Amino acid sequence: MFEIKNITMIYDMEKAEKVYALGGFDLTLPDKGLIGIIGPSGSGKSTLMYCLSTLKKPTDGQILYNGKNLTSLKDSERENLRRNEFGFVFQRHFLVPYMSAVDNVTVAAAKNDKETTEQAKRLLSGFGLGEKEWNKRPAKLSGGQRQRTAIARAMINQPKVLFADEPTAALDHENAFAVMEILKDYAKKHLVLIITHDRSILKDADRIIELWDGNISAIKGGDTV
Amino acid sequence: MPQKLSAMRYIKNNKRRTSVLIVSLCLSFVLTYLTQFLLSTNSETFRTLFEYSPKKIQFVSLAGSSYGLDVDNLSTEELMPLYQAKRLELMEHLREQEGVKKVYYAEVLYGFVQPLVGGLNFEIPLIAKEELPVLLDHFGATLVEGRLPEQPGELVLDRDTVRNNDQYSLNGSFYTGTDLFQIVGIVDCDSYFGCGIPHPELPRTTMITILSEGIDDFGAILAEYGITVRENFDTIVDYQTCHQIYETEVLGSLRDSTTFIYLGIILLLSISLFIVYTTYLRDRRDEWCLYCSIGYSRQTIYFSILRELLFTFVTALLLGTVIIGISEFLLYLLMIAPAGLKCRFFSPQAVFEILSSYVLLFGLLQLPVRTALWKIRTIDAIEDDLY
Repeated sequence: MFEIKNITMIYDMEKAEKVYALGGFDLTLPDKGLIGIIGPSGSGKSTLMYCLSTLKKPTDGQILYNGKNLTSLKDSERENLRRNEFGFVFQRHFLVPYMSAVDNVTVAAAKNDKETTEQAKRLLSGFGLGEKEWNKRPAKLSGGQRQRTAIARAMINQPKVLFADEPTAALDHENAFAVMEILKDYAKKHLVLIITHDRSILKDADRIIELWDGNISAIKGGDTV
Repeated sequence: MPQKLSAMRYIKNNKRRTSVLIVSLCLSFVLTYLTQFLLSTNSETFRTLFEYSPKKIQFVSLAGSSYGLDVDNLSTEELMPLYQAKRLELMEHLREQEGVKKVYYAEVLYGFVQPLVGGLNFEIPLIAKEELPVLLDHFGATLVEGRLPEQPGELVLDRDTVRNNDQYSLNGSFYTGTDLFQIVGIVDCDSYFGCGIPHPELPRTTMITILSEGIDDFGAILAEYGITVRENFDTIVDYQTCHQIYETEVLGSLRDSTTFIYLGIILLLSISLFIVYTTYLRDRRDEWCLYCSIGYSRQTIYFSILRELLFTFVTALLLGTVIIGISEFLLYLLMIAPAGLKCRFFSPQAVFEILSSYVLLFGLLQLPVRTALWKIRTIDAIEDDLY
């Protein structure tokens, strides 16, 4: 699905001392499965996710997604991809504070009809949010419920790729494993990329990519580098 | 149906904030319109006196010299018969004009009408008893209380004049400063109106009084007759002269004060709305960053903000229209009609000016909206700042 060639990301280009967030490596990712990207802070894992999801444009290199070069897409094409094929779970949930849980899910939907609302409710139910929680605003939900709502939002369009940046960072162990179960299940038919520095949540990952200082230091599982 | 960003989601979930905007816009609309409505009691009351009555009744008073008499070299005894002859000749000429119904040489009293600002005298002709029905019929005036004048020193006034002036009442007196008339009846009439029978022993201002329809410019008729009207010596009360005074002195001064009030309200509204709206926009920065990150274009976000703003403006205007309608009705019922004043309920000019200023305001608010859109970043940029 993703074919990454010599991906390089340099911050502070104008300064004498450049910061290499991604140091120029190749990587291929499959169509489905749970892929963990792990590494310490500043290793480039979030930058890699943002580049893959078209939120950032790499300084150099190519990212082919189903044969399409993401780095040369127009803004509208990138928006279409993010809208229809990618789903996002951000480190902070970024739920809209004035909307109910259901509305927070449907706001990302590609369609706006009754079926979408029903689908949002099904997702929330599946993630353990009962009918009582559907109309609650984020401030009235627990941390785990918020994160699960954010995941439901990311899944509402059944995206081909789900990007999750530290999806369990704000959760206790019980909630963290519940969230991981959901993602693992989704990864059976789709590609789920999880960025974390918590190795324990990746115990069932199909592949773990370790980043160190902007470069791949190890890949465990899978067969493509 | 492809998903658009719904404006109603924000509005439904932020009723208090949206209401504040709607109410402040609505109150400004109501305030601006009602100000012009109240000022219209001046313009419409004066318009009746300056534009309606002079189409029905006209007054002409000319100096002897305007008739071509040598006033400097003639004694009063010599002048008076000549003057009367000239005047009768002129009245005869006026009677021959198409549209002229009656021409009298009548004594005139002055009634007084006082709107919110200022006041104005109007002529009350005193004519023979048998001519009164003709005059009343010409004005479409019908007796509603009391009786018609039968004796010298009696008169009738229209209902609005009586309501407007506390000194006038049925069977009350009408004091001119030198002599006393009695108000014996009240008539219903579209204009401020009065007529009566003169005191024979007390001569007063006397003018050629013409009842006509469809003649606006008596100055032109006099010019054809060979008389040039001179402003300082002669008096002509006809539509042409009254209309000019109305346009320049009444509407001119009202227009200035109305413009001043409009500008003041719009300026205050713009400043306060600008501040409040900018705060609202700032609070929603994260929300728009999320939309942008999950694939909504800036244009889609912009149109959703525009729809919210448009909803706010349209609701404010609709609500304002209802409040204005109710307020006008109550003001008319409780204040304007009891004071015998005229008013204009619907002013296309005021509506146009208010709508124009709202369009301007809508345009002005695009500045903070465009700035907020320009500041939208995707979530990666926000998190770059955080970590």
